Amino acid sequence: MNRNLVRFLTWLGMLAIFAGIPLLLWSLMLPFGGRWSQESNVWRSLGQISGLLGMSFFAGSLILGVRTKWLDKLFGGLNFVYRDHHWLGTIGFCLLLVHPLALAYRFALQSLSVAGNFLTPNPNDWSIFLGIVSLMLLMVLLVMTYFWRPTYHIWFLSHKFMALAYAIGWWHLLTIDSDVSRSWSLRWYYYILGLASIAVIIYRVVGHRKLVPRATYSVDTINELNPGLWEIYLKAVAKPITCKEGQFAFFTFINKNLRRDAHPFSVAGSNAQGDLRVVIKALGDQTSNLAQLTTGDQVLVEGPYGSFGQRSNRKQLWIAGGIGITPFLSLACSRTNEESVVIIHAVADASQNVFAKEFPRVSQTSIEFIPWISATQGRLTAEAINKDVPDWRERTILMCGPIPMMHSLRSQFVAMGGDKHKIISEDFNL
Amino acid sequence: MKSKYLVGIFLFGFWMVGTALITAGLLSRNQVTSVATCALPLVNNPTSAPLVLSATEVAKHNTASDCWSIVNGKVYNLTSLVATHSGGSQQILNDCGRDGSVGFNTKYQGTPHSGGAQSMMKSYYLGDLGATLKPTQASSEVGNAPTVVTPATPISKVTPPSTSGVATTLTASEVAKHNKANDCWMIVNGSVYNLTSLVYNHSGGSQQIINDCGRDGSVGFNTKYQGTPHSGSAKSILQSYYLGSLGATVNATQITTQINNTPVRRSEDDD
Repeated sequence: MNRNLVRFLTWLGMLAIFAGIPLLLWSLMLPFGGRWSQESNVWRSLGQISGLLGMSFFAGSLILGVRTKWLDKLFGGLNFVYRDHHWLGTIGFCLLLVHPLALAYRFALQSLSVAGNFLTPNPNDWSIFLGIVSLMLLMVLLVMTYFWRPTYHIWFLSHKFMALAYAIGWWHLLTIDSDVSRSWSLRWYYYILGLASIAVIIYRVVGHRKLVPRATYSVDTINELNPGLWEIYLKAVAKPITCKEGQFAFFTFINKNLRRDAHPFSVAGSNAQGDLRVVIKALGDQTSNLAQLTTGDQVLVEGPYGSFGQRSNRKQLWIAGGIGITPFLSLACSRTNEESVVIIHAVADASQNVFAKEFPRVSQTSIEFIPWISATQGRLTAEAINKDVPDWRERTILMCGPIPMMHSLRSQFVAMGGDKHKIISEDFNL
Repeated sequence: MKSKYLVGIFLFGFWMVGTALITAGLLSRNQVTSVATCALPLVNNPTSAPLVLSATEVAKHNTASDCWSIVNGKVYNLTSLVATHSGGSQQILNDCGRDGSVGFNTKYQGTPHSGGAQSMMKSYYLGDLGATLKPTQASSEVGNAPTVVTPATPISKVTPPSTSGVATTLTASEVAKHNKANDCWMIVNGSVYNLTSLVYNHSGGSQQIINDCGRDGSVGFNTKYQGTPHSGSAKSILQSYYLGSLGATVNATQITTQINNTPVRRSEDDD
């Protein structure tokens, strides 16, 4: 099915489940006109709707964080799942900020002191107090996510605590005197969402070591291709994963000098026995410590995910920025189609151009490799590409690299008359 | 828009508005601002004798302009709440002068009022049922009633417009002089009506009437501003407020008679 149609249908489905159902149930509870008949009722209704949708959107965000292969297939890629997870959480949070203000303003129409009291935490009114605690906790955690940008480990830990904020908010939702407490259908809707969220939390957060299926590998060889650029060969110990070209997996390295965090890396190659090759660049605190890895260290592999480049058999143009070349390594190995492929690899300087000879060697078909050295040639642009690959408009364009580079090139290609539906990028900003 | 900018805007708005409301609430807690004027029986009590808050006494205060109610064994002066009650003024009026505990505890639909509403009730508290009040106590309760954002004067007996005993021509400019809640004339489909006593009994809310006081309210009456006309019975009831055709000359006696004969509606029958 067409990629864009898949995206549209998944968004429609999410809107129906997380917005359509609660709005419909809420609307049918009481005469609709009465809810909007006076100014105070308008504000009360806005407060109720924002609370209901805020909680359902947040539940949706939690559920999408489950990371499974069927979600990967349904959304057309795990990157889309995480993008929707991010936006559902963002919109849900914004709605939750509106919720108490709209309700307080309704009281303000009659009494400012009551409105002020409503917003002030009061442990004696514990169901409202829970709501305030939940919102404050969520605020702190999301400020860390959006504005502070801590190290991956701290960011991941803060993300786990959002489950706690959500659980407290859910308790507030179900215990406070509201339309939810008065409507069995709304109540059951939130029970189901809550149970699904709890299942995800148990699966992903609490019991992930036992519940999430992972294959066990051991480190066979480690090569430093360049300072900070590692090529690691992993040998399957038991039940290897079956990797297709262009896919990625989550790797957890078991070494006392490394944290046991799962990080996504493209699989640069695999064989019939399920052994894997990964190429990793030291970009963060975890990857910078890969020098501590030794032969024989255990690695847990979860996946594979993704379908980058798998469905296209036409003439192609591959554009890789820095370490973004790794999915193309596996694509080159498995390609049997005779259609022409040109790959442009943009690197900061010539010392990072280590894969030039690999493409013609490993591919069964002809792949033209064009290096682009930014230090001497400047930033890679669509205009420069047009000079080296004048028939780029006839090709499917696959891109993997820094997000700004991909976004910029996409805009430039479209501005030059390229078909945006033929430009596919692998977004690793999970 | 990047998600972090969206979140930033909402966070900023949340703290600005939230802080403003909390601060305004703190500042207004002990202030007496605009107070709904209403009949103060104790102020007018010629003997200045202490008053016992009995059910019989409460029953005397049973109008929109003088509304007491018993709720859970306590007596409240709800006069200033009539106009601004979010559930509609009729819900309050139904229990003026009597025990409104069921209405307050269940809203007549099995659901209690919110914590905020229950807090707000305290500001209308007169005393426990059966307690004895000094004459100054009830008037001071009124003085401490919550701010009425739309100051209005709920009255059941309207103040007749100044006619100086002469005939009045019902022109648009004459109608425009009667543009307040306590003196509300309106043109509807070419006729002039004195709707003062309807203001706080209108089931669609008082504001719908007040908005058109002193002017042509035909659109509001014919469509309720949502495309649906008033019912046949509402149209019949309107006739009891009739003063005359637009442009007609009516004498002062006719106006006063209309005012005195206009009932204070208490039942939900004018929609």
